Amino acid sequence: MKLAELQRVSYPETIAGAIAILSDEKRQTVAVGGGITFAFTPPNNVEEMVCLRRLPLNYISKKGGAIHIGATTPISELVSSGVIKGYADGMIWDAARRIGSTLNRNLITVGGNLVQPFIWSDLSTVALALGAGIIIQDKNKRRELSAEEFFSRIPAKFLKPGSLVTEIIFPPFAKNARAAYEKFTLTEFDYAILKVAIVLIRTGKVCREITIVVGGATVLPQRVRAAEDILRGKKGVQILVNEASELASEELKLVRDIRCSEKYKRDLCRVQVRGILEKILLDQKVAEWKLF
Amino acid sequence: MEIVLTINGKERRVEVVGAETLLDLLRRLGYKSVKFGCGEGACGVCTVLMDGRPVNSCLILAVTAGGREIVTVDDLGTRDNPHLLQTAFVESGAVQCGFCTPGMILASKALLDRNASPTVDEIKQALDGNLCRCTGYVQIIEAVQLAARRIRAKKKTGTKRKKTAAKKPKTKKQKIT
Amino acid sequence: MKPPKFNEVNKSVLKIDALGLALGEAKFTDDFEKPGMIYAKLLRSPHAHARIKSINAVKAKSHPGVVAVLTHKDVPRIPITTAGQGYPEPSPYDEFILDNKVRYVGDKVALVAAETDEIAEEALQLIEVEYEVLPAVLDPRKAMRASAPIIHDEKDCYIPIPVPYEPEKNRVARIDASVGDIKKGVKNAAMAVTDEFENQTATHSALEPHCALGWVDENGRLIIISTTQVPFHARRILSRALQIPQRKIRIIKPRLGGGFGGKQEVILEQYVGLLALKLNRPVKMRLTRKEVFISARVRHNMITKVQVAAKKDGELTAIDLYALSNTGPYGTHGLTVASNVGTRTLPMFRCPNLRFSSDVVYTNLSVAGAYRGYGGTQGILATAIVMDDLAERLGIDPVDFYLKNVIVGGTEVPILKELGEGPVIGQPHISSCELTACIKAGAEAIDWKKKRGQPGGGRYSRGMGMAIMMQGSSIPYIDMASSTIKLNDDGSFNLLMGATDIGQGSDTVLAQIAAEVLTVSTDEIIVYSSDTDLTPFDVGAYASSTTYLSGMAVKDTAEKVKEQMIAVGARMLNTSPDKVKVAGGRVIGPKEKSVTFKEIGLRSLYEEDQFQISATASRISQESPPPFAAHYVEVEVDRATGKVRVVEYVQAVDCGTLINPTLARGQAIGALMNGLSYALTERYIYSSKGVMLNPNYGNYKLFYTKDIPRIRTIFVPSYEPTGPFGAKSVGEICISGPLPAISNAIYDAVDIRLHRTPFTPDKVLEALQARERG
Repeated sequence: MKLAELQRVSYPETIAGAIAILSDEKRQTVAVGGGITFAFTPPNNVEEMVCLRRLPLNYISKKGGAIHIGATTPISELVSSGVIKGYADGMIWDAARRIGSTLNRNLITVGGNLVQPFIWSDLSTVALALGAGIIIQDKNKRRELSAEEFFSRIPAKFLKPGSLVTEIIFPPFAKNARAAYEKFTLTEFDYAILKVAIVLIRTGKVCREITIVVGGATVLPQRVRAAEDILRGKKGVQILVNEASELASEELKLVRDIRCSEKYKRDLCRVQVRGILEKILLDQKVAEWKLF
Repeated sequence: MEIVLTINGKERRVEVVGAETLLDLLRRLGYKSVKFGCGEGACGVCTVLMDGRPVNSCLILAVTAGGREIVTVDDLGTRDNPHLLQTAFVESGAVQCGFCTPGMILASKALLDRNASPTVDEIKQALDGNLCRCTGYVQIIEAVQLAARRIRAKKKTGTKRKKTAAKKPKTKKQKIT
Repeated sequence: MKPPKFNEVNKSVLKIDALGLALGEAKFTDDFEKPGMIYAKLLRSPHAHARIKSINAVKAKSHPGVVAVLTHKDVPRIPITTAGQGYPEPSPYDEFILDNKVRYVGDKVALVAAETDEIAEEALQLIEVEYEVLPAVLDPRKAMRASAPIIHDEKDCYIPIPVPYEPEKNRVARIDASVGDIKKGVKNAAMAVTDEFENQTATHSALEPHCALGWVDENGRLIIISTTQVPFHARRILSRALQIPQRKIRIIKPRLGGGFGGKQEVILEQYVGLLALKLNRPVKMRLTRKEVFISARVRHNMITKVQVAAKKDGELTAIDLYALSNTGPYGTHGLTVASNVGTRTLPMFRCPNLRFSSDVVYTNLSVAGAYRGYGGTQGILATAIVMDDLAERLGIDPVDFYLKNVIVGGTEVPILKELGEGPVIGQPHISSCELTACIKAGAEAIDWKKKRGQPGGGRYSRGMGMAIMMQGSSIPYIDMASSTIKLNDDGSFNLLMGATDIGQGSDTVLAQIAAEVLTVSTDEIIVYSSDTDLTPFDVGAYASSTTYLSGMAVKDTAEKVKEQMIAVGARMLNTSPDKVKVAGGRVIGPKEKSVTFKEIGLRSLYEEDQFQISATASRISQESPPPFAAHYVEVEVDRATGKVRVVEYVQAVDCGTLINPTLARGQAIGALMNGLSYALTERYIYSSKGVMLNPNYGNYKLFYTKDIPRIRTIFVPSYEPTGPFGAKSVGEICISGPLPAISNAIYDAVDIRLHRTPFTPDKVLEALQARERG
């Protein structure tokens, strides 16, 4: 019988309480957010399941331009949040509303989507692009990892049992920044064949900073740095769009996907990077970007 | 392991077996309106309302459902007094084989509970995880629109009646309109 | 023919089971339980083709909670077909309950029964099987090569009808039917176009997975509740498979969660029946979604070749159609789906030289079977694209090309005599045909002439495409339907039918037909359908037969009951039967004196010359009147990614009288939606060893609410003189349009002809890139 060892399911109401149980080395414990992963594959030998849903981690707040999202916030809350819709040209909102279905989004939590970067974990791509910070609470300390560090390995694998992702912080979005996200799928309720998130910050006519993140090609989201490098610090970057998208496509690391060929993914990467860059650079609706 | 949860307004103390899902548990307890379709959260025939939100009951381990309030379609209406969504589904031709219908109606109810006048796109978004292989969805969307119209109309007349009968304070009326 | 005025038909009576379904009260097979019920599961093959050298079930048998483990050594070896077709079946007897050989990944190896589903699953892991892996046929094109491994090398398989069956060549069937002379037709043409197409394997994906519950009752009879479209065929096939008398079996069909052809197969009844009889305990078996994908039936993948020739003015002179059909490892529906490739396409055209030929071959891929469209889908894919091509080469708009060549009502169709499934008496002909009206109505609704050929520049190009199609309504001289009606003391009627409501609404439609004849409201008809003990025979829900054929049986039954009521009523009114009429639920005599049905019921059951007013009638059909449709689509193609978006879809349908317009519309839109995702996103992805890699909805993409385009459905006025109140079928036809219509629209948009379905973005982009390279 699966879950045969399970003796207890607890619903701690404080983070410290949850961590105390999870860091008990004598017991096999597991933290449960939305719980989807465990419904698919019930964990072996677990004696106690620690449900996180009563922790005070279901929130979205704006502090001085930064967005703080509690780890147990369901994705559906992001979709219905005006704060999220209004942040970073709606990039998080764009990603959130296309994760799974309404029924899934009511279950999937922000923390779960970050910690278990499955094929449907679209938040990881935008978190990396927006330079988010992820708060991890251990027994004795609270630390913040940059998305860069957090997604350098599979988080579920390096996080110790007593370490809890409690929050994701999206930094203030610069006035002179633009962000855009695209997810390519066969149907609307689908895993990405490829998704691309780009954030571009400008000073005058110079592209001061750019982040290009591609997701869905490998398990973890990937920054395509050669493409970023050729745009960073440049004036009149439109002329480099083709080159940048070409570089992104070449640089892309890929794992096998039964749904399409590697060549198609590279083609798609080129098209998406180019498309988003053009969308940002040629947006005639925003006056100050017109001349950029 | 024993858990306590509320199903259709009744508190239930139940023994959960192994890794059974909330779907398995509900069906074992006799709530057969909750269906098995795919077991991967992709078809929506196992939809229930959990604390008011529509979710895939096949994606929830029953042992973690302690303290939850679960609503199945059985709680919405009866033959003599069906929910307006149920009659609208019947009248619009939104019920063919009917296997998706309980889930569709629950997901629709969750939508109408927070949005009395959804657009077609909002209806599509709210039902985007409920698969139907018979109707082609057109009639289902029409049914939700029909039910929404009727629920709005009922609320309006309900308020009017209340107003004349009990002379409710003005603020309350404004809230509803 | 102008339709007469009706009371209960041609009216959107509310579906009689809909409220129970919406309330969640209606019961499907899996909702039934019996005390002491155990659960059965099949161990399935990991290999596409292998011989079982040994099976060790000792560990599994001793696993706590396991009740039984059966292998091929424990079951009778009787060749059967799982195809729920008439007797004798036109499908080979090439499958066994369990065999010493496996022929596809997912084929059954051993059967387990346990106290719970979970224990049964665990027991499967404990069975040790030693296989001798054999080379496999994973490409239908290679199936008939001399070097190909023989999939059915056993001596005991055969086909029970006198047609060629050559398992030693991996050939299940071959067909060659023609009228006129193709060579002559091509010679007389100004232009001939030849092309080749391939459609993909697909799952029906009825939301309710296959399920059966069986037990032995207090009289020693085997009772099975099953998700079946064919209860009577299931009883017959089960009797053969288990070698028990048919009288010992009862099959009950409750509410069904969709079928689409996927439940026209006996794939679970033999296992629950076997175990129930052996263990004398109730046994339930329900497939997982993965099992439905890999082991239930799929649409036949076919490679179709077609040559179409026409004169300069577009007049067709020859159509030569060939299909290589991949029926998988078992030949269920192999011959008949293939023959329908011809039957559902060639009759539409006024063309003197027609030929259809086919080879149906075994492979070690998924088992194909009946699937909505049934060959028509494959045939129309090929012909409608080639005709679009030919019309363009001749400089003729496809709409005008079709208008010039399609048949009109009252046409003889000699090719049907050559292609028919059964004996054809006299010259087959088509009575009602409003295909021309469909073509015109659809073109006008979508603004065809104005919108076509305007792709526009830039990344996104728009395109228009169309196709015409037909289906049948029952299988002439083979399908039989019957019903029983009896009058109750309150003037209501019981309608007992073998006709099988699988969610399409046939209980309602047939009740309306009875109500129309009996001049009462549909509420007065109490429907009970599909129970082999309690209802008279019907072949079941397939071949688009229910409204048309079962409808005629119900109409005849109601007429007979009406006659009996007239006789009693006339006596009560002291007059003769020829002096009374029936209207509004009364028998009315001279001077408007009348008696109600209730009074007739009471008198006939309690008062005088008591007897049960009741009748049974049955029908076969001499014809299979085709419904017709013209489909039009506007698509948008993203030249950069290859993604095709359907902008708008218009379908104009001729299905005769709409017995229930709401339900007919539901069939038309539902079939269309199924066809749309089939055309664009559904597909089986196999490994090089024949393993399906995407047996889940995560990677097998169906359409949900957000994927649907704008759809308009037009029913053109039509009346079929042989049908019940002018009705023909509408269940299948609309599934066949999207494949060719979308392909033609993609051509209009970006100048590429796609030959292999589905039209996924990668495929479209590849074709665009190939075209650019030249």
